[in-house]
Amino acid sequence: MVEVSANESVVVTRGLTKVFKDFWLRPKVTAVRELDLQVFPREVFGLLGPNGSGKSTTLKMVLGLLFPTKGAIAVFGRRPTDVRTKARIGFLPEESNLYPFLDARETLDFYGRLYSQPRHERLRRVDMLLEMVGLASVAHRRIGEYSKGMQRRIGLAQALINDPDLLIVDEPTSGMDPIGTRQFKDLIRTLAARGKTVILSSHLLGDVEDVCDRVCILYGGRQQALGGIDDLLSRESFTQITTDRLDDAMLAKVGHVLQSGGHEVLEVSTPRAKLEDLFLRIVHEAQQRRVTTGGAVAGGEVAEFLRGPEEAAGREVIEGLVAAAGQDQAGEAAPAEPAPEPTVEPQPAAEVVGDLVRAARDADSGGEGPPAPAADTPPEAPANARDADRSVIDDLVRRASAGGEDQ
Amino acid sequence: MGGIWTVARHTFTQCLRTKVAGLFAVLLAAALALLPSIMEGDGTLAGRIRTFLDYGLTVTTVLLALVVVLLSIGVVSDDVRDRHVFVVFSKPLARWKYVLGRWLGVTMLGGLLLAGACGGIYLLAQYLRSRTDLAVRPEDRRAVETEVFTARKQLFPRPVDVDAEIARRVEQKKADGTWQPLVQNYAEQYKINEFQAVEKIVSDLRKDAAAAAQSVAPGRSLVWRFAGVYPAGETVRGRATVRQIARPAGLIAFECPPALTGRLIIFGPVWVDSVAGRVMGTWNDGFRVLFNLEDMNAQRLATLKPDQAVDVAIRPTVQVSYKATPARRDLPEPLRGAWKVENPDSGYVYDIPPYDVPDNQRATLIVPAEAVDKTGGLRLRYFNLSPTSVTILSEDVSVLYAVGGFGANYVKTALLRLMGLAFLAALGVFAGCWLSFPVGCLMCVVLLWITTTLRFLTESIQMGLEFEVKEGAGRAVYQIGHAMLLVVKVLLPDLAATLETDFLVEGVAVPWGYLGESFAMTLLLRATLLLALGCWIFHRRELARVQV
Repeated sequence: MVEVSANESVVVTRGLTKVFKDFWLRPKVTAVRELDLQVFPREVFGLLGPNGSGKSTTLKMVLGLLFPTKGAIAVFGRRPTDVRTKARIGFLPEESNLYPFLDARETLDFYGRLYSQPRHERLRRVDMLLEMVGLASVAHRRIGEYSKGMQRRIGLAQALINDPDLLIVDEPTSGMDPIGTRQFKDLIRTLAARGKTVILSSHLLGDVEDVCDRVCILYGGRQQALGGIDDLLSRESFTQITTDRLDDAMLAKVGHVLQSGGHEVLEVSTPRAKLEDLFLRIVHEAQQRRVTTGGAVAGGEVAEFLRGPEEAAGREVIEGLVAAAGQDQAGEAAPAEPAPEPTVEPQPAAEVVGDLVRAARDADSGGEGPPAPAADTPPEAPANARDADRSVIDDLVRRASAGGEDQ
Repeated sequence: MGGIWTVARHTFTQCLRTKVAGLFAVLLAAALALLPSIMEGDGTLAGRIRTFLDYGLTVTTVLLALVVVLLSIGVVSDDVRDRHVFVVFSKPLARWKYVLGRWLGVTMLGGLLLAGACGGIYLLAQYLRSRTDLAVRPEDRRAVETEVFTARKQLFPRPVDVDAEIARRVEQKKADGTWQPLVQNYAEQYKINEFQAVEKIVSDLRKDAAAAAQSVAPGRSLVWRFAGVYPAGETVRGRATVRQIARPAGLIAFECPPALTGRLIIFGPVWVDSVAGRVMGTWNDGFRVLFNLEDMNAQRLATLKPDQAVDVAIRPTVQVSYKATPARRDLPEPLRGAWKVENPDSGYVYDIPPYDVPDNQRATLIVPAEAVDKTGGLRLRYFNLSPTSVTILSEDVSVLYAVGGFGANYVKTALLRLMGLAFLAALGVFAGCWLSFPVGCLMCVVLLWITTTLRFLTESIQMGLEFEVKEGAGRAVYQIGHAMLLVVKVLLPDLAATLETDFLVEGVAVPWGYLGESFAMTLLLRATLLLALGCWIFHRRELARVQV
């Protein structure tokens, strides 16, 4: 086997080739050909490609479930089958592949035991993960009774039980509802912010685009493109200007100016809100009306052990401030709406806290709130003051979370 | 070990929640509940209990063997088929730990079901034992207590030495010129060479001489000598009440519980308030004892009065099991025979007067332990009082005496079964490591069939190689079969022997050596070998590839 130097890389492949053979050992199909990859620490790496392009085969070789026909792999500088390597990996397969006769809690407990986690810590993580993926209320139901999306959620939870340094996810949002999808993407960002490495294989290009730093596009088992998302997607020969709505006269003027400069207006359109945002708002409202459901509820916050100690400590400060900011919200649970990406710039923790306090005071006094991102503001404002205050606090919590991630 | 235990616990839960295990448990419970009412055996209570133990344990073993094999193949092969291994082996779990954990989990479940079934059988057997209405005669009760609910050591007499007799016969045939024609006749008849023909003639002569040496002509007697007989059973003690005293005849009748009556031997010794006497008759709740007239008038017995309670002590006994086969089957009357046991050291003689000997059926005599000499020797003499010769082969006569209790022996029998189940679990896990469920089942069924018929197959192939097929493709097939059987013999235990119920049914103690040998050969050697092979295959297997 070819020796692979790990250096700083989390995963390295050199000339990785996989040929599947038939019963008579005749080569049947070459799933992966001469693949050279390098996944670095703290990056979210995407594997893209159509069906049969070799994504899953590559992941299975990284996990030691398949053996390369040629070439070599190193994961954390070791062979993929090394048990010490597995201790640092979390894996969510394409199908959840969980035991249908176990319930959600037993499932997480079983996988937690495989990491030899102390009982107290294991149970703590199980509780937090169930809460995080929104299955705490149905944790007693057997996995076989879960919908596919719920199985994906518990599958994701089992992949995180060891707070992995490398998370490998194969079609992670397949079967998940938009709430779960959004939560998953938030989770990936959180993990990346904590220095974790994520390898993501997906057909859903939007998901990949949202969370990945670098992508590798496979076709026919070969690498077709490799690079940063921005590098691959930026269209250097075009410029897009976003402004408030222009009337026809203004548009004509702009067109005239551009033409006089030798440019051509290729497209003029009115942007639309994302369907994802609309969906999330409707579900959020239904949850606020306490509409009953036998399925998964919106997931909770990212589990504390996945957020890291610094953020957990900052979080407690924020929650204390939030509690002080609105006594009338006392006893009401924070809505579990998935947090959209905040638009504020990263700030030192003290400044963030100061801003949050000021924003909370402004909200209390009826003054202007903090500048909310456009995508984060529902089209219709809450009808009563209580809901308005609630949304302010939600923003505070989300922003505190984002601030903690940036530390 | 943590990983092994985690997987074992998980497997145990998985098997418990599998409908297959539940279905078999229900079937087992139904079978055990029905058996006592439909099994009557030979009509006696001992026969009924023996039949129940035999069928109950056999049904339990067969059902559990099926459950264990099916589950052990399924827990591994289904994990691969359903791709559960994708998640499991993304965790820090070595594959060999997974294989051992799977084996341990299925074995634990098999052990649990076995404990439940064996516990049920034990309780039902005890229930049958307590049925006084099914054992009216004292000998029935005695058979239950001393031949079933006991653990006895079994000794066989020294084999008959017939070498001198064979040599004499061969020399005689050579002298009268019939030897060479006989050899040629054998060679032609069996299509073998002369050397093989001589071997076969000697073998036949040995059988003939052995049968002759173990046959007894009418009016003659046959002697068996046993060595190493050391009955160490405890003296049975109890209380009885005086019913009637015939002082001039030296006879006293006592009343006692049936359990005590069942221990008494007709014409055997008994101690009443430490005074020795001889049992002259027994019935369900009483017995009659003949005392020496001097003892009768001595102080202890002289003051006995009706309704007075006395202590009864019955010293250990030795049982003689035998099967007599008459030369003629058309006898108008039953076989008649008598026995005599002598202790040359003490001069003690125990006679069993003439009685009807069961024809070609196993029967039991009870002999006082006083008949055994100081060196552990025992000399039995059978008198043939029938008008035809009777054969009692040395393998059909044995001496048995209690060396332990039924409960401990039952546990040892259950442990033998547990070892068998553990081996089957190893076999199933081994199959599951590299085969799909249906193919693994097929392989295991074939291997189990071979295991249970190993002796027959070995003898058949041996015969074929020696006498039937001399050359050509047929011989090559036999040779391949012979080689395969050798491999199978190394890999597989003789389950038919390991799981036989004879020990318990015959009330024979399972020797610790036998238990240890089974543990070493079945578990330490064969199951470990299969598991090691399974681990090696599983370690080298690409789990993400579907294989059939």
